[in-house]
Amino acid sequence: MIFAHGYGCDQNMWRLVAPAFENDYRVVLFDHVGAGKSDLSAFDEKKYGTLDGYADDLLEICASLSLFGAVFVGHSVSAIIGILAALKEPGRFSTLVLVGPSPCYLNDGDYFGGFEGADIEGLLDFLDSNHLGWSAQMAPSIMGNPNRPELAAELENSFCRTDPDIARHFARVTFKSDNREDLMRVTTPTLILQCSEDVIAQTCVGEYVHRAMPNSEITYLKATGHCPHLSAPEETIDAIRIGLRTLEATRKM
Amino acid sequence: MKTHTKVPDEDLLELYEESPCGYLSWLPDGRITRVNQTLLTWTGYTRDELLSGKKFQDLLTAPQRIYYETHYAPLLKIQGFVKEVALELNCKVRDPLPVLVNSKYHQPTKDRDAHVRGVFFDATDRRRYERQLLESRRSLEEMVKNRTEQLERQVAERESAEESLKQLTSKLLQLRDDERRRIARDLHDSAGQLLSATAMNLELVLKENAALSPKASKSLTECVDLVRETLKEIRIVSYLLHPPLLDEAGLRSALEWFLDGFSKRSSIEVHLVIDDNFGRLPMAMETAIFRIIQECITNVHRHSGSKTATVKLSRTVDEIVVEVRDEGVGIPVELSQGVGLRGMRERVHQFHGSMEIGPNNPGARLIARIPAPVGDWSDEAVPFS
Repeated sequence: MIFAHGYGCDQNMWRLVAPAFENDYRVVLFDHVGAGKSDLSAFDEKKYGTLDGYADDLLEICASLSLFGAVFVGHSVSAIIGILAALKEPGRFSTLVLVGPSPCYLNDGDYFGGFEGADIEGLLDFLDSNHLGWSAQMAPSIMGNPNRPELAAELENSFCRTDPDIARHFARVTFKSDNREDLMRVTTPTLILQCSEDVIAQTCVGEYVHRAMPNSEITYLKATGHCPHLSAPEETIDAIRIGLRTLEATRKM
Repeated sequence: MKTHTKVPDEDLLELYEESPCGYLSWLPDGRITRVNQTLLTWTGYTRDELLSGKKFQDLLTAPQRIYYETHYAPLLKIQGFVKEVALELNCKVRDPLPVLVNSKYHQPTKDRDAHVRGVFFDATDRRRYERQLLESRRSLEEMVKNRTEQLERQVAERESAEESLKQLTSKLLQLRDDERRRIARDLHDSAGQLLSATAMNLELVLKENAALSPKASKSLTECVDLVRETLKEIRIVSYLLHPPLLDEAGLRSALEWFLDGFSKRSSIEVHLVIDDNFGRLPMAMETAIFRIIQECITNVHRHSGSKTATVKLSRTVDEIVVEVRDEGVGIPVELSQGVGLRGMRERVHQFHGSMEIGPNNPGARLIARIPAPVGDWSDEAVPFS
């Protein structure tokens, strides 16, 4: 069972959910390049200029761990990264669990994604205001210094620390991607977890994903916001367990 | 002695309500539960407006709500606090207010549900400085980037110019060698042959010089001597232009022949030391080494005043080393900048080698190192025909 964190924090996002599956599964957690303790020097603006670059990384992890038929759990943008990976190598995943997925964050004609282009530009601008405290030069030196954990501890907000330039780049790629066309090509059984009052991936967006993916189930969570795995871990764990069981039963029929 | 002064409740309330910073409390899902007067004054909302189900994130613009959902809320949950986040609060009556927020998550107790407390500082001026700082940094980075690109371009242009100059020089040297070889052969084959024939004819005539007048006989004898002398000169010039031995018998024989002749002509004693295992080299390399030594020895003769010189050739697995030493006055400045030395250097560079010239106390010393040829070059050593 492999968990992929979304835009924002790192694999710490799964700390309340992943352990619950350790008895039944071999659990794999990782940080996307640019987040958490990843090797920042591996960042390549061109490779990660589209979500495909991240999907390739995911498949590389699967290959190096010889994962076949794994359960993929992806939050937010990583739901789409999982879809792209499943399209490239269908054998890797038996099931996709998509937490708060959105194939396209921007409104486009009849399609409602929730945001206008100006909102995303505003976000990029806003990110700048919050990166002044820890400059690009400073973040990697601390992140790349595992022998001196006190350095990291001195810095606040360390769980969500990402290299500012990479974070900006990831934000742009995340919020400007349009993967609506990819949804209908997925044949892997898929479980969608939809939160209430999620401004980032609104209910109508989750339902759009459900309609577009022929082999999908949708579960509505009471949890509000965009991160049910943090705000309502128990509900999230139950929903994943029940959903996996249902999909398994359907498969056997 | 321990002193403890209790702050009166009304003072505490005033401290909360009228502090020079905003206070806001909200539930984990964002619903606002408490707000102080300062924050109400700043934003223009009434207490009722904020406490009737409005959420903290409702006070944020769309881009900031993304940040709230992807960074702020997860961080609060994971580490229990979020410090120094720069936000802009939507206000009812004025432009959004730049604030700096510190907030802390409080676990539920028996008296109170889980909640978050936030302190808001007015950061209007600070934000302006930060913007300015960011813009300066960006424009500086841009300038550095542009300048770096410009320099890289110039360096690339220069390198390419130097490279073509090198190629041209190498080509010129090659052409000069070929030309010399052709002239040497032409001189030897045409003028040389014609003169040989003339000499033979004249010798035939000379056998009958008894029939000539004494004056004519003397002229004839002189003619024969002149023709022989000319023939010798032509051969020397031809051999110096391109020693046929170089092609046929290799560098060692060509150098022996050349230095022997040089010693005789100049009365400078030259010692030639060549490693026994020196062997043959590709023809172009042998020619280059021969020319370098020829140029050096000519310089010794012209400029050094030395009575002796030593030429040493050695060879390891990796490199060929050419060393020429004299005991003269050293290298005059005008010579060190001359065409001859530059030509030698170019010849060495042509084979990716290096050349050093320095004092020999007394005298001067030149050492050229050329990487040993690799691969099968035996075909190249076939003499020019």
